[in-house]
Amino acid sequence: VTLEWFGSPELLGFVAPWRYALAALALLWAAAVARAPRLAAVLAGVLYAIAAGGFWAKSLARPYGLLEEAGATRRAAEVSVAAATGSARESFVVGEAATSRVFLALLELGLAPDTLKLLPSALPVLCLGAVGLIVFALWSRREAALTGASLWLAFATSDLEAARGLGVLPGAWSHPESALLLPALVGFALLLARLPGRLGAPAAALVGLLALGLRGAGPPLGWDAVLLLTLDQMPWFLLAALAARHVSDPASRGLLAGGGLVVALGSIGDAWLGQALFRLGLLLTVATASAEPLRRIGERATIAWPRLAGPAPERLGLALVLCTFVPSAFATWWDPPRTDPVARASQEPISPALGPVMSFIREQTPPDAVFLASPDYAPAVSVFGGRRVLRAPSVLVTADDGRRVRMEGAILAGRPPGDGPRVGFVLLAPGDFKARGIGRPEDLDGRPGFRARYADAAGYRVYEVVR
Amino acid sequence: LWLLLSLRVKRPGFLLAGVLLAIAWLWGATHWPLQSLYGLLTSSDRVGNLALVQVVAAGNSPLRTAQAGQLHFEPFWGLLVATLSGFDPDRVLAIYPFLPLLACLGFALTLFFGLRAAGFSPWERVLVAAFATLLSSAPFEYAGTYRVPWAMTFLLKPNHALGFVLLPLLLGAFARIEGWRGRLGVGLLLHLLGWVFVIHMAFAATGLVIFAAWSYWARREERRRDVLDALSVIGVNAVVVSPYVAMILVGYPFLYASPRAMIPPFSAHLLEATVKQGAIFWLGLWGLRVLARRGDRLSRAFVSQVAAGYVIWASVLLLSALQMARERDEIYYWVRFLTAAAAGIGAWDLASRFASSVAPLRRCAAVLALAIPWSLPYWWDPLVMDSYVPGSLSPVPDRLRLPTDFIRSQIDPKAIVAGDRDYARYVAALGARRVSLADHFHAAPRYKDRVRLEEELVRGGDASASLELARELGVSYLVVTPRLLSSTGEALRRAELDARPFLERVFLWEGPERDFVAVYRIGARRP
Repeated sequence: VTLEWFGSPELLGFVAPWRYALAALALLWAAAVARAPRLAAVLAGVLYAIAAGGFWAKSLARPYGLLEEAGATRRAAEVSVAAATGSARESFVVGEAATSRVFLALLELGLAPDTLKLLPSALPVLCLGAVGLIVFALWSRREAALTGASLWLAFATSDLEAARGLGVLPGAWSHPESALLLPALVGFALLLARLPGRLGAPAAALVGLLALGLRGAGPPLGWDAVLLLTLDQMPWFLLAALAARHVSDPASRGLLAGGGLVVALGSIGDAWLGQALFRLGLLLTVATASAEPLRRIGERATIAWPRLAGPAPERLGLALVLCTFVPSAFATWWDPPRTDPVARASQEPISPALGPVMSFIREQTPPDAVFLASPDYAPAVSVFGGRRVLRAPSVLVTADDGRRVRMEGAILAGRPPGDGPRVGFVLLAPGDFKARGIGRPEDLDGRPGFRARYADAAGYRVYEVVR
Repeated sequence: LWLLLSLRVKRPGFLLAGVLLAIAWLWGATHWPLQSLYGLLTSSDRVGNLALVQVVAAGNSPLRTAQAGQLHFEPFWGLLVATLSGFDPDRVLAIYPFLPLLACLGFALTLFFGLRAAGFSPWERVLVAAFATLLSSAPFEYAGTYRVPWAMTFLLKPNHALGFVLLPLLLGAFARIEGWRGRLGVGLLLHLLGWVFVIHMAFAATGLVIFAAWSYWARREERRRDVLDALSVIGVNAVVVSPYVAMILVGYPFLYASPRAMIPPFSAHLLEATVKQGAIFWLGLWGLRVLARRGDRLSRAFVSQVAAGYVIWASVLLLSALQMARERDEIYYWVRFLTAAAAGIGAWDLASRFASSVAPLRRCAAVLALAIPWSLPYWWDPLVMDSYVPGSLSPVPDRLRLPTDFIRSQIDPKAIVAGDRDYARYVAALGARRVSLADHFHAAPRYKDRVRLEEELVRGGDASASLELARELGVSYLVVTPRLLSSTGEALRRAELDARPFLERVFLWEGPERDFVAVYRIGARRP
């Protein structure tokens, strides 16, 4: 994994014109829904979704949370180390088990580490766009597929559940494994819901329950779960309740049941994923019964403004709903730097001074080498150098951290212990390990037990531990 | 539960009481954990606001700010709070936290009672009060350009909120004008709004102009009366309030360009006060359409006020291009509160259309029940959504409390205090004494002389000249902190000031890390 990154933080200077552009895109989308072929209409919605999420992904100066948030850093470090060493079972901290199962599985499937570094930052776009397309393509209710996809693309996230920390769009960054699985789960659920007889809904619900296999951050429990599944879902909860009196759709029922159970079961699964499935279930339920109300809206609008005549009333009704409410939708006004501290921290680029020393580590040290580095730099050694480290307490505190601290002291004192992980290299940066009597990185030059391997003008030093 | 109970009590007043309880709950939930006055330690607005009131409560003129000699553009608030406290600064500190509650309750009540007219049902007015107070803010507004309207208006600036309290009364009175006595009375009421908050007076007057123009261009039968009423009210107001406006122009020259008086580059201005409001905006537009069709004077006056808000909001674009778009937040809040009130009317109309067979009580309760998820009490999380709350969780530190307790209780209420300009804000806000200069205030008259006096008192020099200048400016005390000493650029120590023949130390607080606050009386030492 390299320091290269596609982000352009200077985009933040264009937030205001971009919001106008998003509002204009919403109107274009509505126009496409009214007059263009169905595929073009849904693609216009996907374009809106890509713009809404893509702007903020592109404005990051580093991959979301990298070296700022423990989860994101651990994931990138485990992928990088696994790619360099070929061993995906062990975490980036030597002797610990890896936990980033989904991303490590993708690595084993052949995705490049740099792609996997990029992927989590792009997940808000994926969650909105891909799920919208999947609904459009796979939902058995063909007559309502455009409406269902459009409702998801426009209203997958709203203020209330987002304020609770479980909005689809903002949460996709902090729940990357779940966000990656969401399109797949939705696709499976929609396909299984086509099963004949009464099997469709339970099968779709079972797919939803796969979310129980994932652990999310801070799942809601008790009263929060009740509010999340009811009042937070307004107005969709109410509209879906009204719609359910008239129509029944196995996919919607399955998603509602599966997603609702995941949320209700709290700490067992990822509530973000459960909420996303539940919201999709509500939106699809509303879509199944929307034809008649949308037709009425379209007809009344044509009577009031005859110039609107032409498109099918149902399509015109949907277009009017979109052009009225999408400019005020959560996606249009999402502002991660002001609402998400991790996103704000990710507006700061990673120091390019790290580049040469990380290249050295990656290219000039054995892949299975274990590094000792300060808590500030240990995660970077794994993420950009692809090497395991003895300790990285800012990301992962091991059960035997006390022992590792003692090992660290012994190694820096030139007396590497005979047992435990075999640390081969030490990375020192200016200011590191002052409490252990190291004033400057070059202090280890010439000390017995160390061989200088790398030095640069930025002050970084790499020493090989000589036994 | 309250809504269910209302189905048994069957009175609009009972539902209104529920709205008032919700407001009280919001206020309580925000204030309960606070250990110091909301925003006192973090908001210059709040400190300045309290300072303005305290010096009046100590017996000084409400026409002057906490900076001695400076004219004040919101004199009514200082006088009102000082009167409520019985002109006792200690009591001001005790009652101040309750004023936001009173202002918000007052807004709901005046909307309910002030909009009484033939076309407005009491159930509709309950919704107007509920929507304006509880649905005028949105969950992520704390991260927006202008922050949460409810908190920024009622909690932070209850003096501005008082303008909102008066507006429905003004509109109701305007709608009922009959003859010159009424015009004079409403003109005086508008002028009172000016004393409360002159910017609201300007907005309201613009609304009356739009009211007259609309009536004229629509060729309404009563257009002559409408134009006469509007112009008379504005005229009476202009005559009565003109000395005050002149005073403001003198005291607060605001017609100069400044890059700070521009729309921030991250703000999509035209969308901020319109579609960003979401369903409330569309409901509000619908409500305005309903009112416009209703056609009575009160309805048209209300529509005109909202229209004035949007016209002024749009004109901010032009003002921003001229670098003169000041107080943008005030027009934003004006638009938000009035649009939300109109949304209450729109919601009532839609409910009546779609459920005409349902009794009004049930209709009203159903709308309120549907609105719960978007109402402030449902989503308000003060620790996350109000940046002033975390900063108010700790008590006022001794460094501020002890010296200002001394100043408030021991020195002459008419005394003027010079010294550390940051600390001076608290000398006024907590010590209730006027100051020579304070940070975050507009420049006071004789600014350069005041700065010179500060420098001469601290650096020493010609004692008689310093005393003469202090006497001229009326300054009799000096507050010294390490910040003030370091600001001179010289290595001054407190002991050097103690040795000055014209400074007598009357109070000293010493804290950790060589921090201190010393209060000196200026003049020849007492034997």
